[in-house]
Amino acid sequence: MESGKLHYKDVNSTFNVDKPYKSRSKPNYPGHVPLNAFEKLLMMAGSSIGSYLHPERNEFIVGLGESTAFTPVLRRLQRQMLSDPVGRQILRERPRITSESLDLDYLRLLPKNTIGSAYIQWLDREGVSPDTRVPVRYIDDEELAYIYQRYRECHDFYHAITGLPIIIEGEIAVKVLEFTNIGIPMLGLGGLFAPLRLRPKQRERLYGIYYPWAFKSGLNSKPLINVYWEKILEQDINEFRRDMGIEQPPDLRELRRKQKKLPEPERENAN
Amino acid sequence: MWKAVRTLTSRATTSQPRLRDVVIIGGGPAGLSLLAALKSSRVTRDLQCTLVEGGSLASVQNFASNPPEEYTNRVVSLTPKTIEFMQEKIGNWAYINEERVKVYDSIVAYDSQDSDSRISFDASAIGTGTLAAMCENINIQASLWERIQELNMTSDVPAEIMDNVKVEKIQSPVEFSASEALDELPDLLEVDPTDGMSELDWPIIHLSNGESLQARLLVGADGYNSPARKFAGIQSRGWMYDRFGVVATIKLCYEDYRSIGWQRFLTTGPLAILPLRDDNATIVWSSTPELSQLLLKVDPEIFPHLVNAAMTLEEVDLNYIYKLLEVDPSDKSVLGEIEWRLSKIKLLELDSKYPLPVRELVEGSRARFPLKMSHADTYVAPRVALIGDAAHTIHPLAGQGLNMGQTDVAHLMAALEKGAKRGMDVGSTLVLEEYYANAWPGNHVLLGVCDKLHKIFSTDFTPLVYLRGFGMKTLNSLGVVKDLMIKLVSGN
Amino acid sequence: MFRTSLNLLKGSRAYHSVQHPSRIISTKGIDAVVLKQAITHIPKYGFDSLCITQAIRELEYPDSLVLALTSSASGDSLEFQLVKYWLQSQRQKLNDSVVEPSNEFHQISNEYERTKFLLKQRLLYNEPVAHHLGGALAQLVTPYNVQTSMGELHALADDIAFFAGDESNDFAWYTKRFGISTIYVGAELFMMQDSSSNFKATYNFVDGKVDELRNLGAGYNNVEQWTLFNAVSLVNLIKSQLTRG
Repeated sequence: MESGKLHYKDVNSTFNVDKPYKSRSKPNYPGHVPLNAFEKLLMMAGSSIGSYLHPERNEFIVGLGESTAFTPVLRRLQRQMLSDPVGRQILRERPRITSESLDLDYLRLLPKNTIGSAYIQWLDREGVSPDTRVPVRYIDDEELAYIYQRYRECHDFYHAITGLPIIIEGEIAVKVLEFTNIGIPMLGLGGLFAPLRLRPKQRERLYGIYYPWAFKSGLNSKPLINVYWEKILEQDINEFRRDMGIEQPPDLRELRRKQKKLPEPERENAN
Repeated sequence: MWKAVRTLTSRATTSQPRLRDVVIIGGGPAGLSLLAALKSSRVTRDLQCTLVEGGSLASVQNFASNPPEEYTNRVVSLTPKTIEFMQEKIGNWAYINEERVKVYDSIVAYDSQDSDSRISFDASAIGTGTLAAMCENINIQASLWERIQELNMTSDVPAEIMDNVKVEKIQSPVEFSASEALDELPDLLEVDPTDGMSELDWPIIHLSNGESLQARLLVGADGYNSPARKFAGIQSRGWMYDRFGVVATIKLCYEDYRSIGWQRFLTTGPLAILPLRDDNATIVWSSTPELSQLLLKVDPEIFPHLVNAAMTLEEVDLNYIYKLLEVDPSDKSVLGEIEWRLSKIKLLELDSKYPLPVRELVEGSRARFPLKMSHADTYVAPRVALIGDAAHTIHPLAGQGLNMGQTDVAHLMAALEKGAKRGMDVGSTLVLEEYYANAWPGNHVLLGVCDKLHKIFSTDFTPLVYLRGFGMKTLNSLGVVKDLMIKLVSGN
Repeated sequence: MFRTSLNLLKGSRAYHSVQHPSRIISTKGIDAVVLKQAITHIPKYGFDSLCITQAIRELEYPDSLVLALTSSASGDSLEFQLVKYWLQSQRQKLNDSVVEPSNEFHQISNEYERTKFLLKQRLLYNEPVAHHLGGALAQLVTPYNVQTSMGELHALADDIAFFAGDESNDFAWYTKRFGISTIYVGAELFMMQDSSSNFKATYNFVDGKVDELRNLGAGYNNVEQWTLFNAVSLVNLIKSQLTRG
């Protein structure tokens, strides 16, 4: 009896004819939508075109992210988390960042130089809430799906510690920082193709200031995925940045305002 | 002149070396096998043989009447060819304690990077139902001892076994007289001290009990640092693997009815769990020096769980656990870590794809030995033959070491029988070189294969991992090739 | 090789000796005195002739003393003389610190760890002038200076390899020194744009590169061992079959 199979013709097989073709596999976690290979390929193609033409619509970016998050990449991330004690703690405790799990009013009361305070200040400044993260649906392995979900929910924290706003330039800069640090392919694709839709002045700013900063900070800093944000909300943010090896880039909103204020001929010289 | 006189007087006071046909140095399985085979064979049984063993053979002698309760930690695997040789040519299999021998019909080897990359060998290819048998070293030695005693009872020329006797020096009488001659001009009127002794080049073996033997044929079965090999001036080539083999006797959760031997190829080295009778099992873990130190130091309560983890979890988890245990070998938090990661594997998979969990470690059974690969340039020299570890050492991952020693004995016996039948001097290279010609190539191939396997599985470089995984999966599905491999190794 | 004759005159040797620590720079000549004072100004002004003129002024010599340097026998420019003196004085400092018995260096036994320690020690001396290293490098790579600068680089690599305990007498001698030179130059280039605190990133870079060098060496040894073994085994295989009567 090798691996449970019988060595003679199984008569029951003649009776199980109502399922002649391979059916969809079972979901591995609540909310899982298992796709087969062809469907995944289709999703990749469709969402990449859609996210390029309509980056403001969330579902394309979500779809692109999940379909290009290949298992080897997520496994590498899983290994990175499993080799770090804090990463293991995160995988064990499975914390989720929502407006319930973080007490926002408490964060507002924290001193100005803490991570929690910087986070809530950024949330208020940009006018977003931590609930706007879509749950992961298309990644098959349950632990890898949680890792991807964790990355998605921590995205706002990366904005907060770097101070980059949610306008398209800021998002691209954060995406490149995440790519060099975490390594998810969708971010690399975004970093390559998204600036092509911007105006020349914006592109110059990105390539000249923010890309070099993102590469340097991302490659030299410690892995961001291993940071247990919920536990370090009271820590001093400058100390944290020094520890991790992340530098703060020039404030994007200020830069845009200054460059807009300059009169035309000087603006050309400044560029 | 005075030197010559002194020489004469010194030779008079020390005892003359006793002449023997065959002197075997080393009382391990190889040496004892050769002695038993020599005495079993009709052609060679009238040769005067002596076996000299430096350690004590008391435990071997007592094994038959009073075997130890727990399994000893030196367990070897025997191929069907070896068992057949022992049954027919040597005749010691009748004396093996069969209750302590476990027969396998299947072996599963899998990769650490991907548990689906596995090869499973089945005994159905050779039709005997035995792929390999796990037997304690001492069990084999005891059976050979019993056989030799049986043969001695009916023999005109009983074999002599000396234990607790070390070999002090091996000397060639030719050299001896030659070194004398170099010091001074030869005096042609002087009496030649070796005159009248036609056995000019028989090596003289000086023993620690004051005796000395002079052998027509000196067989070195004395392990890696063989004095016989050094005497013969034979070079041994190879390298240290920078790995240690950790052996231990353990108890499984319950008796494994499946008779499967398991081996997982970790990056630090393969770990094999080989079940024995009842719920006993033996493990052989080839590991780096640091890891082997850790394994010997780890708390005995944690060790079984560590073995379970090493057979099922990913390398990243194992490295994390080793780091925790380096700091504190009794750190119980690793048990929680192992449990957590084990919970990620489906129960069905755990049952079918992985070995039975280990329950406990038998106290005091952990030991380690360095791993190396070596092969002597030649197995024979005038009046000297090498068998067993003296001739070659191999990585334990395929369990072929003892079997190679047995094939050496088989080939040497064939050569000696041929020589004896033709009335030749069994110590001459004319007789012995046939042994060298027959045994050397096969051993070399096996050494090379095991070495390459070790090298291929020691890397976690992703392209190579994919390549070897693909190779394993392909090989696993090619039943014909696998059957051929099994037939080759078991010698059919 | 490059500096034998001049050095023999100055009394330094082309080999290492434990009885007599080598003197790389003399402290007697007027150019040595001026340059010694000048290098204290490098953190402020960079590798510029301004350091030399400041030094002369501080030592209360007349300004025309600069001619002693501009008309030196080597024909090097003032900036290059400054750079060369800097390199030599730091190398001398490294040698002196290693010979000191209380140095923690002597606790390390592994050759590669010692190499790491020495490289990092030398880079430590660069810390005050890290942001001016670009200027120094520019001076070092100009074609008429490159021979001297290569000689200095080799001398540094040789010193580090010697103190780390290199005893190779085969091609590995060249490979090791080449490896150390490469790592050192790479580390200096890294240091120039390193903004991490205490140049942590540079030191991590050095650690990583020396580990790579070690793996390369081990890998080569393994291949060599395997090849030799197989060559000898082939001969033995043929011998074994030839003995068949």
